[in-house]
Amino acid sequence: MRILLPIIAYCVYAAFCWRVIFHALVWYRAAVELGRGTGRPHRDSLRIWTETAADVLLFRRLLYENGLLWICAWTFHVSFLLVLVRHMRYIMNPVPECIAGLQPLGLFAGYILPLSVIFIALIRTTVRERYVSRSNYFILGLVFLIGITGLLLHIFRSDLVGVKEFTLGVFTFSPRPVPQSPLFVVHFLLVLLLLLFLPFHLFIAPVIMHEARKREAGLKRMLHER
Amino acid sequence: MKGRSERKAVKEDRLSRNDRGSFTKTLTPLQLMELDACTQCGQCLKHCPVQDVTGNPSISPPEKIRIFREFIKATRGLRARLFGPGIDPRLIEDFSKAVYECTTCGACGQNCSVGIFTQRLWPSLRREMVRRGLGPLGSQAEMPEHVLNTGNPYGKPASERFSPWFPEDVKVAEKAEIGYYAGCTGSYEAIPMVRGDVSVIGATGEPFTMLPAEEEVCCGFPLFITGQHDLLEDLTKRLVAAYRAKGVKTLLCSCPCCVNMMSRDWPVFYGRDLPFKIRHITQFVADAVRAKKLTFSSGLNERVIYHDPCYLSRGVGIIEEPRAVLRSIPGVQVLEFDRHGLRSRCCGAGGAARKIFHENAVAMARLTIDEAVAKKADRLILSCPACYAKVNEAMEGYEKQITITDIMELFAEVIRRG
Repeated sequence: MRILLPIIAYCVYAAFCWRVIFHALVWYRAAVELGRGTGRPHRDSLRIWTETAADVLLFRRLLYENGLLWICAWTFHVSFLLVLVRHMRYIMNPVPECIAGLQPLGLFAGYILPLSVIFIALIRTTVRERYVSRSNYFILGLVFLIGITGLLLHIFRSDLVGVKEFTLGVFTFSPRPVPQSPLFVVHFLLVLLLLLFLPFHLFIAPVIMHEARKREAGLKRMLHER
Repeated sequence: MKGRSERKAVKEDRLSRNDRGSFTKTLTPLQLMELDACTQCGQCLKHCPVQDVTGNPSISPPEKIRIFREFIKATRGLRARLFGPGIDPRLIEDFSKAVYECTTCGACGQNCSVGIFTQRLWPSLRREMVRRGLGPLGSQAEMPEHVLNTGNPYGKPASERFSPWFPEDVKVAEKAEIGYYAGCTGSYEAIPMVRGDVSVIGATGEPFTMLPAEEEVCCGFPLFITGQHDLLEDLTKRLVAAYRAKGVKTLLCSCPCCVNMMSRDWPVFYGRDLPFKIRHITQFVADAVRAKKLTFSSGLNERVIYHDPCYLSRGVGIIEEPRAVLRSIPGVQVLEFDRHGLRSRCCGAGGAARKIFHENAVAMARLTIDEAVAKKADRLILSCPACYAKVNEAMEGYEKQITITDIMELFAEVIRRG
């Protein structure tokens, strides 16, 4: 296990990098092959950037569509982010004060995260116009399990020093012994699985939200130019 | 050792095989990013008119995006590179049908939690299906030949384009700064609409010109929307050159699809900015009313409900002008559909799907009729020839009835009364 777990982690990391490169390659190739525009370019402005920021940070477009789903989705993403920040202490030495200061909030978010997943799943599967694909179920289930195993690790007080040594070792390419905790191994493997299937909209959606704002502003000028 | 020409042939063959395999050929880089950006939240389903009448999530917007992502992965992903591409032919055929069943109204994109521009994405996916020989469907495949032979996608004689409906009292100038494009669907399938257009333009007293019936060919929209792009550049260049030769500075049109094609795509196919402005007829009429070029004293004591065509509101942002035109008629009360303006619901005629998926289209049109009747409107006002043809068709034999009138047909009637 001492060797196997880091090897799995590096394989997943390589696969993740491949996915990023693959997507970047597809866009690049499309740009070269196609080489044509889609009409008049849209103008940018401070107002458009402000609206985009509100769309990205507050999920404003989702708010217009479904208030209940919005509150769950926003809580989910914010708590996920806080949990992620809390986990930075495992790959940083020394731990910066800002990360240390956020630990209690991160712990609270750790309790909220699985709850928000449950509510999202409930809303998505009970509305009349429901659409949940297999990948939706998979990702929601995966995050739920990660959240639960993480909470159990906190509740049963695992070997924190051992965990930190191991994760730091993986990140610095100098693997250390795996902590003697089957729960940790499961939690770690689930996180690797999530990295493998991480939805790419996390990276691309902000770009499209900005394009949408520009397009909407341009629509008003489409046939109204002087 | 292989010769230079042999190596070149091998390279070309490999490129050609890659080209056939690729699912990204017809998409812009931004559209490829849009595919990745879909969060699969499914909120668009409640705005999809096809979902309203079929309730089938397997042909819903997020499912189409999910499957298309799978196609890209199956042809360009690591597994495809190692073991070759593998796509279930039946899946791709079902996908193709789903893409053509869509009305391309763009309501899904308008209400998308990310803001994906689906009104342009779906036609690009259709183009990919055409490239693979899986599209277009049914009579859509005959459209390019009809356009080549008769100038319109319906295969109707060019000589009958204007003659059956053109009002005798309206004069068309040989050359003028204002041009009018009637369009194929209006000329052949929504005659009261185009008759109303020319009557109202004529009533303003502004000289206007038109192309002869044989020269006013299809704007290209039906070909564009079904993914058949071969003739588009030629059609665009012919029409632009013809209007330019007539000295046109502003080209008027009432068909939302044509206006969309002219303002969004003609500059692309023409290769540069057009030498004239494109205006929707309601913009011209609203200006004429403001400038008191159109005057009338008689009114119309009616409650009318206005339906926003998808390609007019979401397509080119014309929302206020039709309402301004209607409100300028004394006594008219304008009602609104629950979904109106940018969020309007498709009447079922969009995406060149109305003749292929006739039952869907009729069911969608009847939803429009139902709401208009429920709101106790005296008249349902339309401003799109495809909507006009389909909603009228849907009312045949339907228990709910309402008077359907095109906006310019109504305005021409009011002007005639004086």
